[in-house]
Amino acid sequence: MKTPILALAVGLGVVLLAAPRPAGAQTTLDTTLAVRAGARFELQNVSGTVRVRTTRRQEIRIHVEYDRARIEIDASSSLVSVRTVPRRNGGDADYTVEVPANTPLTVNGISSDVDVQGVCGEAELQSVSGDVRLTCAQGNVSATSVSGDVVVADARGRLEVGSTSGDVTVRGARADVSAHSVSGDVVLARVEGQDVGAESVSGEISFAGPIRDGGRYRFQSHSGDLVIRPDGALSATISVSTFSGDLESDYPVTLGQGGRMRAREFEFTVGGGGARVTLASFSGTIYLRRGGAPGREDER
Amino acid sequence: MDEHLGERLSAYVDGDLEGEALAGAEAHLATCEACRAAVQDLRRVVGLARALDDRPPAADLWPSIAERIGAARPDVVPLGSRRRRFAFSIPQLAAAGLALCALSAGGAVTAARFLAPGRAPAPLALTAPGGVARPVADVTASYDAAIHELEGLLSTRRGDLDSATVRAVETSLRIIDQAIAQARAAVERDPNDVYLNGHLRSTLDRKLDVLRRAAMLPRAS
Repeated sequence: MKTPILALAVGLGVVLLAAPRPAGAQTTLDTTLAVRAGARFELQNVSGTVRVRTTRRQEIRIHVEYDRARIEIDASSSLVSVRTVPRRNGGDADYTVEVPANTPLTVNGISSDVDVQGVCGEAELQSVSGDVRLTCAQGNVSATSVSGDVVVADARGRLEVGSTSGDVTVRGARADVSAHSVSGDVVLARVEGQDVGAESVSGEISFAGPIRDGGRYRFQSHSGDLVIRPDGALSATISVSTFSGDLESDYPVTLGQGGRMRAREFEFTVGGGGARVTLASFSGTIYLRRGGAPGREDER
Repeated sequence: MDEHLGERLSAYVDGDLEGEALAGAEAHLATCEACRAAVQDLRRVVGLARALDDRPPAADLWPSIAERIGAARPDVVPLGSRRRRFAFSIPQLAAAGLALCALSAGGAVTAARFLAPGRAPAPLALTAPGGVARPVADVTASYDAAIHELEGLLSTRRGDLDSATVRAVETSLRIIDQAIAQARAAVERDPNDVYLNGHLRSTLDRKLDVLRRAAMLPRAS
């Protein structure tokens, strides 16, 4: 059943209000809005799902099935803003949105999964308890959740990813990355960046990617293990800090010239030492593996 | 009176509104004392954040440490060219303000830690000039006060959040508390250890960050 749309012209903008329906009645809204190049899309959802895909047309198509909620769409040629306004004990809404490629996105969900694929522009995605999945983005990109998992693939630019209790995964990024978690694991695979950092409390951190000359790479945890697998030849000055953890290294650890050592910290150089790598874990084990080399940590 | 600015507040303060949206906001502000006050509060918080961001720590402890150990300045993660957005709404200002209070009291902690969550500056040592270690109680006192306030704020917001989220946050906070206890005990045994002091501080930062994020979460419905 299609929902009647109340369209109110407000200056240059348009406000579309999809009328609420009785509880339990699933309602569908489908609308398409012409936008100019570079127009931004913003969406706030409460519970349900948000799927964003691309269209070749210069327009934004919004398809939403919802229950016990009101959908507000505020549109101009440069910004389309959509909001789910829940009624009492309700607010489920499943969105499928099509936007032009490279559209800057802001999507916020509460208990809503967020899944964005192929848009390849700037993105700021956040959910409280839902999962966040993003494939293809560039520029300033952030994807965060509180208890959901976060997965980002094919990102370029500057990437911030994090979850409090969920896992955080980045696969395939040519970006500077900042990743954080408390208890979830952080996986950075095929990450190529000059400034890469990951931090957790009890979650494991793993990194696989090239360590570039002049780059800075920082990985720190409290009790989580660190598994670092540099791709290709490694040339880095490596600082290791731990209280009661261990270091297992496939690379020779030589505390000779240029190396320094304190009670719980030491530094050594591999190759020419062109990159700066900081590895710190209070009680976890730090594994420094040659790229692709399986280690004992893989057997767990 | 028309609807309050609500979530348009931060966009207005950021200067992101234009055209109709800007005119509408200004028209509303002309007649709404509550929103004017909120704008002033938000600008104060943002201004404080920016000032702190550019301000060197009240006591930059690193030079004396660097001299003592012959090390270079530790890595500090730059904010980068990305323009920061201050997306606070009225009920969430308190959390931001509290984080900033902790930030002021903490001295060596930069605004980036709080306002660009997830950035992870290398921990700074907590040794006073001259190489004398500060007692753990001194080190953590400013954090403790801010943490206490944010915990209180989060407690008042429990009803706004769904129970699963509250459980996830509380579980995470327990994990962080265990880490803090272990780090604190280690520092008490070896108060001059640079790594342990830095680790304690970064773990306290993590707790503040989780609390701040939780206190600023949107209502569940």
